[in-house]
Amino acid sequence: MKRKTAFLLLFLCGLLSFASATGFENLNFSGSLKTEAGVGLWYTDYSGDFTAGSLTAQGELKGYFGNSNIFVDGRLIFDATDFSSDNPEIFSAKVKEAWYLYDGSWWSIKIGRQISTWGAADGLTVTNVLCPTDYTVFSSEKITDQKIGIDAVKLSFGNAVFLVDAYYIPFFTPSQLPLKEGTLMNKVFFEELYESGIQFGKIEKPAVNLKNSEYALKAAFFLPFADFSLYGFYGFDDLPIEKVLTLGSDYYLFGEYKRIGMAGFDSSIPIKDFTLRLETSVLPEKCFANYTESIYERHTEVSGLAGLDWMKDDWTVSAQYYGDWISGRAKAIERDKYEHSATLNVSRTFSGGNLEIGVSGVVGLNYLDSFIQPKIDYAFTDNIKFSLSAMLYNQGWSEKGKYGKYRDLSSVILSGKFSF
Amino acid sequence: MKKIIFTVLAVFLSSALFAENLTGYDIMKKSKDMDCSKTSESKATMEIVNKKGVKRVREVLMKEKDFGSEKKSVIVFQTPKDVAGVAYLSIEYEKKNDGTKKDSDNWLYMPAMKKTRRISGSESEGDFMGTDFTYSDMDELDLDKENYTLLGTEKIGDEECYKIEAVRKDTSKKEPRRIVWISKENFMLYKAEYFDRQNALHRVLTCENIEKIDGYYSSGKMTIKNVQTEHYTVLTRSQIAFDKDISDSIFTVSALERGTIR
Repeated sequence: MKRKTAFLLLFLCGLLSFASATGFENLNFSGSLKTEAGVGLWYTDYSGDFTAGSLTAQGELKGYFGNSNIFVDGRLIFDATDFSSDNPEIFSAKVKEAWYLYDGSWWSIKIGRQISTWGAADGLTVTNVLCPTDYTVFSSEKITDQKIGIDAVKLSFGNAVFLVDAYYIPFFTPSQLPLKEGTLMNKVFFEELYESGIQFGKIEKPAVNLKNSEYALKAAFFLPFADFSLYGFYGFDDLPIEKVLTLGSDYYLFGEYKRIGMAGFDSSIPIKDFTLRLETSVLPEKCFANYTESIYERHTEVSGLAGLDWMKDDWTVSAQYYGDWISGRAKAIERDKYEHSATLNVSRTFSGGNLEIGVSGVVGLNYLDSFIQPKIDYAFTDNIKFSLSAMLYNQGWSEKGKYGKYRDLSSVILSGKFSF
Repeated sequence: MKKIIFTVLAVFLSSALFAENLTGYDIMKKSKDMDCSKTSESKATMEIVNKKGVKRVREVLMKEKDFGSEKKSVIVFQTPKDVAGVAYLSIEYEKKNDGTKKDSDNWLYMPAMKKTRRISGSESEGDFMGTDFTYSDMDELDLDKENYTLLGTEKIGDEECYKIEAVRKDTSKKEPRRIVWISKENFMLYKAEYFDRQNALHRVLTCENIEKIDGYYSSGKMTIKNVQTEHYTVLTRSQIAFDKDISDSIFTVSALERGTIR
């Protein structure tokens, strides 16, 4: 981690020095201040507690000189909810993106920390395995939008009909897990662990060296009747595979990151007022944890999604069906052989787009647990926006549901954003 | 000598008569054919004002290129910050020999999600990014979708104009009828009134600062007012240029995602 931070800081200094020395024109700075506060609902274990309480100062620097472009997105975060942890670190700084891009019209090269989104799915992950996720923050933003940048070299080439992106990722970036004991996300994420009396051991990350690099490829085609893309990824699963080991009379949770390969496909097909989205991925011999026997098992995982969007006038309606199947016996790895869910998103804008009211939800069809988020967004001015939403996690007929286990996170969240 | 005078007079009169025999369709076709530049680009500022006088400002960059069988256009939002980088790519297709026309292909890039979405291409009457313009206002005029009637001539300011009624063949549309004023001199649109399904006046468009740039007439300022909500949008164009060299690579999904269109 320290080596990676050093490389990033060196890269950032290099980027800004380069910009200054070459006389980058049109250096443009903009940013935002966003505050978010959430309170647990009355029926949860955190009734009346602050489930979210943060202030984020975001700054963006953009510039270009000829065909060269630079972009830096940094954030300073004050997280008031961290006071509840054993070792409060209420301030943190992140460089979300920092890259240099050379634009050669039909080809380009982008070097640095960057975020790329794959796939046609909305709020669900099928092929979008490239960038890891930040699970430490409880926010009204979709979890699939809380992405962490990867340090990569991306080479792109194509024309009006096709585009190929090839990635070389020398440093593996895992998803950020809420490991800090005492924080709300830690308590909820690892509730079962604490109830079982298991303690945290070490999560082993791959050594930073060439043989632990990751590779990714996307080939997209833009045709009059449809778009479609093919994906390939060879790298590490950004979530660790866990194993419980005994040391003396105590139980410890250890983890390590395992290699995965992914092949995927997606398509978007416009049909009159509708757009049909299809997506599928195959992860052969993916590693899963067998907690009972403290071993790893390999299963092939196949995911698929079908979605339909309708946008007319001020209305947007989007529905998706998602399925995830694994080969072999699933019982020991504590999941169902076939898991499936459905999502629905309905929103309408008013007052020329200043007010947006919507509701989005996902239902796990195995146990009928769900997550529903009604939301109101209002823009007072072009620079000031407010948002009020409820994050409602509902348990189905069993405790096993993916969304139901976060029931105690159900909250009302108010956020405000000032952009400049 | 008399014979020559009579011949000249006859030619002159017949020309005048021929001009006066233009139908509503002919005038609309001439107006549409005015826009025959290979490329066009401009910066536009859109001031969106509600009935309380509260103003919102959007700045966009617009580029268009005619590829023969298709016309491609790109719109990139530059301000405010919340929509900066949002980019819209559209490909409009020429009508086929059988008179049918393929729906346009459209993509919307959202920088917040780092994602480009393919969106439906069928004509949308929804407002364009919170303005009083609609997506169908942005589409190229399809003369076969309306019936035109020349109502006479009228002055708009100092400009003598043909007054034409355009009625949609598909009467289920939000604004099935409009009246347009087309300049007799340069066949540019000077004014339009849009009527809703109840035949009540819905929107009024006025075009000003019409001047010739690079050999083509262009409107530097357009104001569209929704008379029912008293909400209006003023679109002011600057840095207008025609037939300049614009790389084909600008009109691609890749260019939207790179964010380097300027």
